[in-house]
Amino acid sequence: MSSVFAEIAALDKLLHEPARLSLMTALSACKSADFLALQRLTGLTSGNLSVHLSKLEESGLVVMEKQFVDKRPNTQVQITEKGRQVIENHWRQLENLRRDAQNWRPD
Amino acid sequence: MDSIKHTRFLAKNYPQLQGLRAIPLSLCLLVITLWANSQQGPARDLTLPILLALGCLVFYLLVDRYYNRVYGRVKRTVTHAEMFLSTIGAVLALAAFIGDNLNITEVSLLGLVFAAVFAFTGFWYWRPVKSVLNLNLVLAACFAILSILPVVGIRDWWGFLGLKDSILGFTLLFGIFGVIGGLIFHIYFVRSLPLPPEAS
Repeated sequence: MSSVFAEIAALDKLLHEPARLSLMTALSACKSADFLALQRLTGLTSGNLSVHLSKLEESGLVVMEKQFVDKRPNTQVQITEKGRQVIENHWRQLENLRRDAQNWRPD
Repeated sequence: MDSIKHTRFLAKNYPQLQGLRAIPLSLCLLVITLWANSQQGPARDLTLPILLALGCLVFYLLVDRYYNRVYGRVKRTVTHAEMFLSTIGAVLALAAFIGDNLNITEVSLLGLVFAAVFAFTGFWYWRPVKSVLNLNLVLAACFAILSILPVVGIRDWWGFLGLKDSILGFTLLFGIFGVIGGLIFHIYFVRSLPLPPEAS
């Protein structure tokens, strides 16, 4: 079991937070999404969403582009190549953990 | 895990789930079908269908604005396979329309193409949503059956709808199901999104 704990401890803390995991999963499923769509998809408040996106941007997992659409400010968010690799790797780790937990037998 | 999968599904199909987008085009198809059915001989004055098409375009722009303002924008990742299959579908639909006009066969080719479209979109997009997949498959089966009815001796099912030929019958049905499907998808979309924090 200690190896399972080690695997859990090795999970990326930045991604394992539910809101950020949800955001990265949504962004990995599309080309880009704007701030309002991400808010609708995750149910986060604008303040929370802003904080999480800033952390993901600081880590180079997403890029944000601020622009005006129909004279209104609009923030487009896109996952980076690094972000795509990191989230896919994270999902693989989670799937492995789940499989290990299902297959575990007492000695 | 399931909620994350659900979020992924919603993000992947965000624009398609915005069902009201399908209504202007379906309505356009419906009203132009009814207009074409009312014509005696070749149409000479196309003012009315052009105005109807413009009205539907304005309606679409309003729907687009509504979704962008209320639900935001998601740009889909369109795969090469998807683009290729869409092009094939459009070419087949055009060929089927011409084929039906020329009465090449008793089977309605346009109906078969519509059936294929329902089956294909069901499997391609809506496999995770069993109810939508099943609805698509039922519609595909209905269109396929209607297409081959003339071969088994039932030659004018479109007459029951007051229409002149099978092409008008299929476009009318496609338009009606487009409107109903659009409303169902919109309701599904709105109910699938998590409640805003203030309301939850």
